[in-house]
Amino acid sequence: MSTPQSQPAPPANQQTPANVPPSAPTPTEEIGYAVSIKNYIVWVNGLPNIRLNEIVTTGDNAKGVVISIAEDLVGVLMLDEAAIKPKQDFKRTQQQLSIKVGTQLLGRMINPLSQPLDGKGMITIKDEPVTIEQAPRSIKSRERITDQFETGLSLVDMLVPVAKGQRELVLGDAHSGKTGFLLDTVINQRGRKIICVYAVIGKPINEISNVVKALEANKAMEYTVVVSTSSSDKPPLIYLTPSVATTIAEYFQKRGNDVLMVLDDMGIHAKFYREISLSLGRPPGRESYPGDIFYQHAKLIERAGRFKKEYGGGSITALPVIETNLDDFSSFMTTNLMGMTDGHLLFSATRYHQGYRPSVDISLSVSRVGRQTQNLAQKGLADRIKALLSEANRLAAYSRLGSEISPQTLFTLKQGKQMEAILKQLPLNKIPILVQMILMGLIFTPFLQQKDEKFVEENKNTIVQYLTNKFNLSNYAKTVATFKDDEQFINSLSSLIPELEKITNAQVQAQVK
Amino acid sequence: MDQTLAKQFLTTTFTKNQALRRLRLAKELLELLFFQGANPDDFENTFNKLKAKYSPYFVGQEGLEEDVKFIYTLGPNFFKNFSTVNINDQTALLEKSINDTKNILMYLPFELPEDQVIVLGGWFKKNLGEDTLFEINYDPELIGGCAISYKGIYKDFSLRAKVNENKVKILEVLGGYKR
Repeated sequence: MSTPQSQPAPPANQQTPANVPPSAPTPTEEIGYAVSIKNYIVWVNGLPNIRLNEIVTTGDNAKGVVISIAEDLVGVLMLDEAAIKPKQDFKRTQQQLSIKVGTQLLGRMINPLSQPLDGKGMITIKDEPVTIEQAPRSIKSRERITDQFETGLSLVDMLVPVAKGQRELVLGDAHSGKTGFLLDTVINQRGRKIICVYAVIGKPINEISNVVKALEANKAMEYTVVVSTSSSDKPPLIYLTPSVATTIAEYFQKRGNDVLMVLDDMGIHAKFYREISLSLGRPPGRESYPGDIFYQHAKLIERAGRFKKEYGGGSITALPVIETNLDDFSSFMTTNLMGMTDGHLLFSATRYHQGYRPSVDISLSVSRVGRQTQNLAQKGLADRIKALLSEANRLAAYSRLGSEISPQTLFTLKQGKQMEAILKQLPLNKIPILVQMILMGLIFTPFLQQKDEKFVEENKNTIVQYLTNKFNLSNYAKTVATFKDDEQFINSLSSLIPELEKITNAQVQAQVK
Repeated sequence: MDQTLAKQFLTTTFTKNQALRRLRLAKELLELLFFQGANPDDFENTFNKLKAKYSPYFVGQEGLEEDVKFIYTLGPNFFKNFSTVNINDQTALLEKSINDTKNILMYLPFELPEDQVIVLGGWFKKNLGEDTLFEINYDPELIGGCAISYKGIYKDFSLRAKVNENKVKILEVLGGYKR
């Protein structure tokens, strides 16, 4: 008799005859036996040719994914609920961890195993499954980022612009308006042919429900896929959530779509990965996070970008989120994520409670790519606004001392307040970029120079409505693109002023009546 | 650990379960010899105490009598290698040797009688080396034969595998007999 070892396992496609259910034993296969069980981690011996991220199954068809390969043991992360017995056998499937992705996912909320969570029935996708763990595509597949990603929020689009294909970190304290900003950004993509993939990672169920309700109520689910895991889900599922969201985003990008991917939040993901790593016995590093936590996040974030046509065209704009603690943005995970993104939007709880929406702290927010997508007039105007806000803040500090204030200082303070009134934007209030520019440019024209911030607050919506609905924006956009600087742009606004005076006066008279 | 001790222990031990059962009995005898006031040189009397403790259970526990006899066959020379100082280390090493020994898993649809275990174990030792143990896994779905798993490779030699392999053909033939 020859030893079983002398007969190597045939390739997977020869192992299973047609019409034999996958659970039926094949004549020869690789097998391993559970030697240690720790919650959702099972150490298995055997499986001599196993590969990382391969799916293994028990006799009862409970699935696990190989996450660690030691000298004589294999670490399996159980994805299904199953009672694992000592010496439970595990078989190879020769399949990497993968999910089925298709347009059928739009409008649906799924878990990382592509199972629906919204009660709208099964999702049937005929396409081949796509491997979840993929290396980011190389530099030759990438295109220079040239287009602005429109969030519809004046403060972001003008002062900290985000580009299509950019990775912009969203960070801030709890209750600083991050989720509101993300929801607004997704909702504002309606009619812009942008696909949104919203990953809710390990959040409380009521928060997930609020996100989905908000998206549904504003008809944003039509172009959105929500991949969600709640805080009560098993850590392996939570760990997989951002990878699955990225895989879905890549699917749509490869078909030429511009995709917005929200990963909310990566701090929770890091904590669950830390738990898994510590359970696997990997040595803890700083704050007990494993040594490869940077790699784990970077390989996800690197999958975003703008791609050449031969690589599908399209782009993935990634908005990873992390919650900070008491404005401490120098913690390990936060600085890690800052290091792998092209800038960050810092949300301040203090500004949020002062009534600023969005509560982004402009002085501490950065966008390393977005600015290159703005035209000359936009860039010049943004610089001018930042200088004005900074000067107004500095003067506001002096004016509190009670000394006599010069008319010039008072004027700057007034302009600063007017600008802040323009930058305040209530939820679900989309403003096109050109309208944002006009609104901000008006501060430097005689139209608003003779008025106070109260006038701006009261008439902002009227002006936005007029510019959006009655003004020929597309023609004006072509003219603005030819301007060499912001001065030219501000001068061009003088032609608008008589009409704006007329509509704002009409509003004042209507209010008096 | 002197490898001859492990070799001596495993020569007439055929299954891993048997080895671990026998190791437990050996540990018990060592405890009697060194920690229960017995004379360490008086192997016979100490062994008799062990035998007396287990003899009421010989009926109904297949293999227990064989295991006790096995301890006797190890003889006093085997147990002279142990002392109150090294007893823990030596038994731990013996256990490690058992766990590290080549282990063949055999899937059978029935429980193998003890005498057949010896016959089969002898065959494995003769063909695959003295340092071979085997283990039996009960798989009620097996028909006509057995399956073997060794170093992570599972091979089904049973009729079930042949049936599964030719399932389509068999169904076609059976389909011909449909009324």
